[in-house]
Amino acid sequence: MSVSAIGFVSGAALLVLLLLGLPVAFSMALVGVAGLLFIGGAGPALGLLATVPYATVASFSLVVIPMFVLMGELVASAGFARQAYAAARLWFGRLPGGLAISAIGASAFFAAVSGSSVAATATMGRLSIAEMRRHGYEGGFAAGTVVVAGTLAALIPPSAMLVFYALVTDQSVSRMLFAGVGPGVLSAVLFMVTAWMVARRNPTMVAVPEKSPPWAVRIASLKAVGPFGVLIFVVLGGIYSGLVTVTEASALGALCALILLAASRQLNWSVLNQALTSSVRISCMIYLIIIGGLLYSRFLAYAGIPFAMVTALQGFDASPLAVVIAMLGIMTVLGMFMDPVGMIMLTLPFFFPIVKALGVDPIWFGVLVVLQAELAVITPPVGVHLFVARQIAPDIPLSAIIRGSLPFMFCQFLVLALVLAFPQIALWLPGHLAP
Amino acid sequence: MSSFLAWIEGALRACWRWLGIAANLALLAIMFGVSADAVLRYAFNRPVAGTLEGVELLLVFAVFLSLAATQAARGHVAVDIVAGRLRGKPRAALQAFTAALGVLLFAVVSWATGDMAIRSWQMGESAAGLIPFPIYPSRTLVALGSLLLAIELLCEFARALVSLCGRPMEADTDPAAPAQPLP
Repeated sequence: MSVSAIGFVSGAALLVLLLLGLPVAFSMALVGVAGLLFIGGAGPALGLLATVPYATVASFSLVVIPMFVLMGELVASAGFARQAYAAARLWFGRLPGGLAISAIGASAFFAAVSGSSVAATATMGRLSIAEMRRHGYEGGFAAGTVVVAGTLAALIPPSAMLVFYALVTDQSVSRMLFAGVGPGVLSAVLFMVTAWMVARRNPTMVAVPEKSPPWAVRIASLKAVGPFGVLIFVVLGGIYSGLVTVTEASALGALCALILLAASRQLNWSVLNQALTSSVRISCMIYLIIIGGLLYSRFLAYAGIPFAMVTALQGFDASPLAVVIAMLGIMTVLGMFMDPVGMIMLTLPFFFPIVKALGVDPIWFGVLVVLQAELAVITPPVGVHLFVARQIAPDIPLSAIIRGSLPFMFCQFLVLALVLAFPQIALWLPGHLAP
Repeated sequence: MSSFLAWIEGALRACWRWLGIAANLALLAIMFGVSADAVLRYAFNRPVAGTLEGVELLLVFAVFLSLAATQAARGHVAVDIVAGRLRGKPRAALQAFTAALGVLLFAVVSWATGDMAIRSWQMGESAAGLIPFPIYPSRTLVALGSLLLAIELLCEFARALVSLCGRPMEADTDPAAPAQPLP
């Protein structure tokens, strides 16, 4: 069987298994092992099966994922997000759409201490959707704001998604994390401007702005961001200065979150158990997808498919930018139907060898992939953040949430275009990292 | 048959709950271990020997012994565009098919990794570090975790078969229910 036939049949088999509802990790592992059995016999297939699962998980650097998720879960359990939201309201409440702008601001702060965008969306959603509606905001706009603002957690470090990309493509985790800062901050600012513009254009969708509090009250409110400051200092400061490794910073961050929770008298066994269970399960899901993806990509490499694709692409003489845009387009479509982790692991075995061969900066490409992955969680019909918002406010129709998130979604495409056009937005900060 | 299956499911749920607590404690130990190592190394230039090997073993323990519980909680992400729209027997048939594929996959994974664990034990394979930490316990955990996942999937397969034979699936154990977003 020719290489292209193997690629086509395996791709079709994978698509069928995914559509049948077999978990993404199982589907990739199954196609990878069956493919290896077919082209290489039982030896290579069983050999890889025997070694890949252990070699993938027994890795000290992979501790980063559960630790960043745990840190986010613990912070989500505490009232820090509530305090940050209250403080943001004192600063932005007087603007048109002030409550939505405050929710975005608080989400950006939460993103700087949380590795999981789903946890960020759930936390800010519980806090702010009902509050915005109570003040007369249209439900769809309120939920749409939170749904999109939650994606900031995947861009602003610590981010499980950036770590995930770095680990599966063998890039520096610290460089990858800091590459998310520029696009993350840019997204947050543009989301805030968008909320302000939407509120200005549709005054009936939002409440009358709140009264402007005195400066003394506003400045006093800044103490609410203290816990965030501690965590940002420990994790990002530790990594940026080179004092600790990313793995150590992630564990210290989780420990600090635990201490802050205990200091604010909010720690009990139930809260801790829930945060740990959630972290273990999310990590378990991510690890199994990495294992499945590795089995699948080893099969593709064994069959020579990435090499054949690179050779075919060189024949077309396409520019690297056009190829990257085409890849992002494919990811946009896939992301409408898939979870971002699955979407990344499914496409990278094909895309990454091409990207490397074309000489594209892998860190820059990683930021674009994560930006794209965050579109996947808000694009219907399958968008995890949309489902989270629906769970929090079941009376808001999904169509209204999608309509409410559309202006912000446009904003995300704008950020994607800006990072495509100006790679320095992502690459400037990691370029200044301690060696 | 159905009550026997319900009993098995109950026993498995209890088993996953206890393993879940053990995995949670392992994660907590990883957090304390890595933090202590970092602080002691920075403050006193005295890192804790064996942290790396211990953490890797605990990570394997936490992840692989939670595979089955994660599956039971629908935590392994899937595309449910087709399965989510089906109802009744077609849904049960599809579920039986995908569960059977899962059982087959993880039974083979368990066998291959189990064989590797035995060979690792016989060879006396150890980690390349200051302390020659044996690797066979981790490899055994990989095989055991895969086996437990295969058992959970076998249970889902049996449940789907029972409903295919006429008994409706209980809402809370509906295998084709869309994955719940994690909190």
